[in-house]
Amino acid sequence: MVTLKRLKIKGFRAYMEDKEFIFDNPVILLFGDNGTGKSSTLNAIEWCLFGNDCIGAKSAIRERIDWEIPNRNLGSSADIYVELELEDENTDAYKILRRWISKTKDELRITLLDGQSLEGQNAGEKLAQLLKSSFRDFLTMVYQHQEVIRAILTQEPRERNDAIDRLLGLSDYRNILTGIETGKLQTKQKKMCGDFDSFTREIDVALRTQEGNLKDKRGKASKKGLKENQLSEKGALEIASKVKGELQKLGLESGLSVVDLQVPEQWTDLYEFQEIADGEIKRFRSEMPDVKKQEDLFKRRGEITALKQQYQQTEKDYNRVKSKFDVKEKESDKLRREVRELENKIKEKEKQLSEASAKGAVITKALGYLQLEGIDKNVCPVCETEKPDLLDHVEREWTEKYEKLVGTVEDELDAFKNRQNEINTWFEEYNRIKRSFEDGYRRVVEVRKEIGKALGREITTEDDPDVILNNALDGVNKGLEVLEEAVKSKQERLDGISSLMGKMQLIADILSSEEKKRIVEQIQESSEYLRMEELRDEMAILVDDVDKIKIAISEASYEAAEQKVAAAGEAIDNYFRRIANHPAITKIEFSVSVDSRTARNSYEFKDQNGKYLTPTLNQGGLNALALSIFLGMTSLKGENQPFGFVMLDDPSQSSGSGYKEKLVEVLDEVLDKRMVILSSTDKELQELVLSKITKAKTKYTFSDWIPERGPEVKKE
Amino acid sequence: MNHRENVQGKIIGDGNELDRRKDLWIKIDNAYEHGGEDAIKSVLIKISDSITEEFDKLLKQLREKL
Repeated sequence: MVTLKRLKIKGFRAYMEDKEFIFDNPVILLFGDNGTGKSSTLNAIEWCLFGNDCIGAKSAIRERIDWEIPNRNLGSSADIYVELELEDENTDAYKILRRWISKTKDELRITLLDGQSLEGQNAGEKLAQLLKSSFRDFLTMVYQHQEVIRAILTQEPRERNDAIDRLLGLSDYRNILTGIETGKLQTKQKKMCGDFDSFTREIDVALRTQEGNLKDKRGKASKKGLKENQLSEKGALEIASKVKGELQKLGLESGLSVVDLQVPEQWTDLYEFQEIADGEIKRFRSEMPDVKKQEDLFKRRGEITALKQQYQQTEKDYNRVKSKFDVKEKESDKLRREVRELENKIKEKEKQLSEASAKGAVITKALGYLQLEGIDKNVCPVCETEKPDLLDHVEREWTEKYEKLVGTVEDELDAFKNRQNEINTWFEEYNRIKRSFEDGYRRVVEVRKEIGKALGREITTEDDPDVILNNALDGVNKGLEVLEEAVKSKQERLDGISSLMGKMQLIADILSSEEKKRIVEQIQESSEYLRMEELRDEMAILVDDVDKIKIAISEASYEAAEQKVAAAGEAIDNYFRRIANHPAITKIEFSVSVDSRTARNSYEFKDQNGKYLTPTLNQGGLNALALSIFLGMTSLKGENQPFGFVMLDDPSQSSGSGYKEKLVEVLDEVLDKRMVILSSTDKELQELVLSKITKAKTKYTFSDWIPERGPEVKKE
Repeated sequence: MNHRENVQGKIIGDGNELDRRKDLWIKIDNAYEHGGEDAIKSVLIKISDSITEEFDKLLKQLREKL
């Protein structure tokens, strides 16, 4: 159990300059108005012991979410620390110094009795060993923080039971159970069993698959005529030997070399043998002499057939264009003669037209002259003889005779020229057909030369290439007929060898499946599988052992709780009835049971009639009950109560004089077991403490807090 | 009697089983003494991992064979 001896604070929250507090009496009273630094003093003790666990969201105290440690009026390089001297149950002294570095970092140093200093993680571990409590434990066992205490009464059952376990000093049991549960052993066991079962099923499936494969393959082997006694390594190797023999024989007969095919000694090498043998069969099929001859003849046949088709097409095209040309040729002489006649006629008409045009030019000029203003229209402009109505006469003659004559000549000329164009067009077509005819003839000659070259003879104009080609084709076909039989028989032999290979492969597959099946069967007898079973069982044993330990923890916790409830229950009942003085509640029943679901202690507070207390109490009653529980628990002695002091922060707020008197009475009793650090603004309470409490007191008065200095603290 | 002894006295089992469970309890409690709930978790994970890691390794080997 640790007790406080001395406290030094600098720069922490309300504090600017350093201040020291000596805990030299059982009662330490911190008295002053609100905002003078009393709560900061208590908080400094918390922070020194628990660091950042007591601020921010970690603390689970709403008002501490945005808490600041450094005093706001200090500069950024100011020294901020809290130093606490403690003494344990062996009166060994420890000096704990925590220095603030930043919002997330502080430095911890512990100086031991022998002068040795521990820092950092080592200091943290030593402090944890010394306190044996978390901040949450501290809040419920030492520091009567309203929000936390109220939670005991109003929170969900789990949180309430958790808090009471701590108050009773039983948090170790609860914490250990929680620690065990976070190990999640059952989850791991479940996974292991699941994996094991799944694997066992996989083995089963693999076995059945192999059995199915084997049945299927044996069926195929039977259909291929393989007997049961052949489905062995010996059977497969015998077939391999046969394959080798057949290939060698065929190779000799065909004049082909055979690769040195080694019959393997084990069936596992058959796949390689098969690959080589397959290659030989393929080679034989393409390189056999008769096959080569056959291929050549096929090629020859193809050539001759193509030449025949080409010749026939060329002849057809030539004949078609020749018949067209013949028709044209017949007409051409006649048309040539007509062309010559037309040329003469056209010349003649053009001459007529020219003469008419010249005459017409003269007449036009004369008309033009006669139509002029001031000219005598009845006098001939050439011989100047008078001719009555000369202009009218000339105009009439021009219109009736001349223009008509010229029109006729022009029409005839146009007709002759049109006919000339028609005949020219005809001759263009004639020339085109003639060229096609000549090309066709040339192609025929070329094809004949090609045929002659292909057949190795000259094809003259007296030869019929079609017949000659047919004869050549017949010769090739006869040759093919002869070869077909020979090739067919050799191919059949090769097919026979392939069939043997198929059987050999099937046997090899069967042997392979049997081997796989054996491997699968052996898995469940293997040392690895057996070891897996052992490990699975080991895990089951571990989980069972841990379950038994959990039961033991639960039972031990319950037993200890029962004893403490029996011990504290009386104190709580006593304190509550004295502090609250509730007319309807004459007794509090404080009981514990084990929650069958969580295996943890479950606590209840009931009145004398067995009814739950909390629904019927008002604010004052709840405060009184919370304080009674807190003080009743802290009155318990034992090694599970690591702190030798309690801290009360304004316990009498909103309470009447009667309440305060009773409270002081109760505190006097608590002081038999614990130092009490009491912070209050209440003058009445202060007077009662100073006058009624029978233990020695030290009073620190807080006043005149100013930003530049912090609180003014006087010790009395 | 502290919590260690209290719990130890409540652990049931026969012969080797009991000794084994008591040893395990001491391991758990030692871990708690040194490092709290997290240390318990670490110890149990270490013990169980020594089983599951070997198991997983064997399972992988056998699956490859299969």
